[in-house]
Amino acid sequence: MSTGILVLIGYTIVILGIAFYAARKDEKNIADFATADSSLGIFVLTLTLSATYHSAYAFLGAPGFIYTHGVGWWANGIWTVFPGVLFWIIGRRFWLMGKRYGYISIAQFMSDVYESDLVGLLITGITLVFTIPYVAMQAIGSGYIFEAISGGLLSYEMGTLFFFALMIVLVWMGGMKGVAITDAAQGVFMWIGLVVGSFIIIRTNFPSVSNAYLEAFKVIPEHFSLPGPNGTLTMADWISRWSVITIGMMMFPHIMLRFFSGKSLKVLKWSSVFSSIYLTSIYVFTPAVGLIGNLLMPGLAAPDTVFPEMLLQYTPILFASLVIAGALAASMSTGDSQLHAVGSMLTTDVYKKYVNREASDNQQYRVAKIVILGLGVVSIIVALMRPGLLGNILALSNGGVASLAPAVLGGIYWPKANKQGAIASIIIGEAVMLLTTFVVTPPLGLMPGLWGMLVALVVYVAVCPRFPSSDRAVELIGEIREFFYQ
Amino acid sequence: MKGTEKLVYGLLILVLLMVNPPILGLVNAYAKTTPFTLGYPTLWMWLQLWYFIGIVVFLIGAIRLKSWQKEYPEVNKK
Repeated sequence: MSTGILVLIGYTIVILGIAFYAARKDEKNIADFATADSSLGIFVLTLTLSATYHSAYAFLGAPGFIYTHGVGWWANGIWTVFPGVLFWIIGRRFWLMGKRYGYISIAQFMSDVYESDLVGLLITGITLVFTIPYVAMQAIGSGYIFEAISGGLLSYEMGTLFFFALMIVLVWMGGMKGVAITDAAQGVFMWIGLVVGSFIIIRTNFPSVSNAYLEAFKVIPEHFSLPGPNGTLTMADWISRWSVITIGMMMFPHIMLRFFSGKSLKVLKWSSVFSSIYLTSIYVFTPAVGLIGNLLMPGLAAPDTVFPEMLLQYTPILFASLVIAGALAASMSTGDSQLHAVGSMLTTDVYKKYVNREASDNQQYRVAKIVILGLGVVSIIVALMRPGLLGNILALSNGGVASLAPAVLGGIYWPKANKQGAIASIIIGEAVMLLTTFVVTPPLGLMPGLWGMLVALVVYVAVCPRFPSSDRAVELIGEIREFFYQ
Repeated sequence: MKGTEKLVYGLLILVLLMVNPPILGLVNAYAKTTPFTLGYPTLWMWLQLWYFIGIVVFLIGAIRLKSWQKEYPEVNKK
């Protein structure tokens, strides 16, 4: 049996052990399953937010993108610093409302603030549709990782199926607590794997990091400025990429659920600050690794595999396997959180509301588990179809949910908010996003997700003042302002 | 919103402006003629500097701003 497979077995045992520990604390009701009853502390919330936010992309997509398009990739830095800022500035408002009125999902809050079930249903449906490809992206990453770590002994298909099984077990065993605690462990694993692994690859081949950059520049100078060697990173692409991903990411249920999960505002604040630090530091050597990949492994057919390929070639097999298991941790921590979030959301916002209004907490808890299994199956089917490059899937998923931003943010900031504005904004924004993705070329080189978000904003601002404000929005926004500013 | 809070938000917006067009375009043009600064890629250094400033501003806000220090009293849910 290869070292890689032994490491995988060890990783699985450790993660399952942690999940088992978390499961012992599971209260077996929907509030505990969905938000850990708002009990997470700074350490766990920081790492579950960070590890959930950055996924297989950190190990595979990011080095692959730099390998192909150059140092301009670091536009991504905006979405490592600012998500923490947004998580605090926006998240504290949702946290307060959750604490005061018991919301455990954004759709619940949105239905209430807009006094419209349709708004909640739209939020649930759209986030569900665009989360599935995102979970599939994690499974695709895992498939690649399994192939690499086992030296080809385990196939891509086996990797995705193993990923699916482990993910379901983790979510089933401990709900939010289980997911969050295993995420925390995986977050530590991710940081060590990415930072230490990258550093070792660089130092094995070059006397210093700056020398690695210098040698790369001699061969691929066009990678050191915008728009990169293929002309991809234009200014329009830059603005689109950071805005859609930074704002879009905040709209995903697995991130929103964490707004409600902190033990206190202090926990939420410091977790936000530390997640900005964690996410920015994790990529400190990634640009150098992606660039020197062009020297050490030129012409890779699948650039997304450049980091694991270099690890296997330039570091001892045991170390490489451990680091690649860190990549698996990154995929797993995002995938299980996403499945958990949409499962919880469908249960509280659809099953409880439209199927069985009398459902007890325990019934909802059991239904959530079944829903998660079903969604997991759909995601894996998508992954087995190998739908495309990780970066493209990320952009499509984020673009899809970014159009929700004006309505979601309006509900906590704008007293003129009303359901007419929210519904029109969501439907027209999504239509524009889909139109510019699949039918027409997006104008001005901006990404479809940004067009969807901009049009959604214009529609929201234009429609809301034409109808009476939602009384509940006025009341809740007033409460938020009074709490934080008086 | 008090003056200090406005300053924190203002600085965070400044960070965003510094890492976006048109300023980014000027830095990129400079990076084409001077690809390295202190041994590292100029473009990367510029971005890294402003991201670092962004984190420091966020940290200062977390420590200093009164509206960021609020804590919710443990009372029953409504």
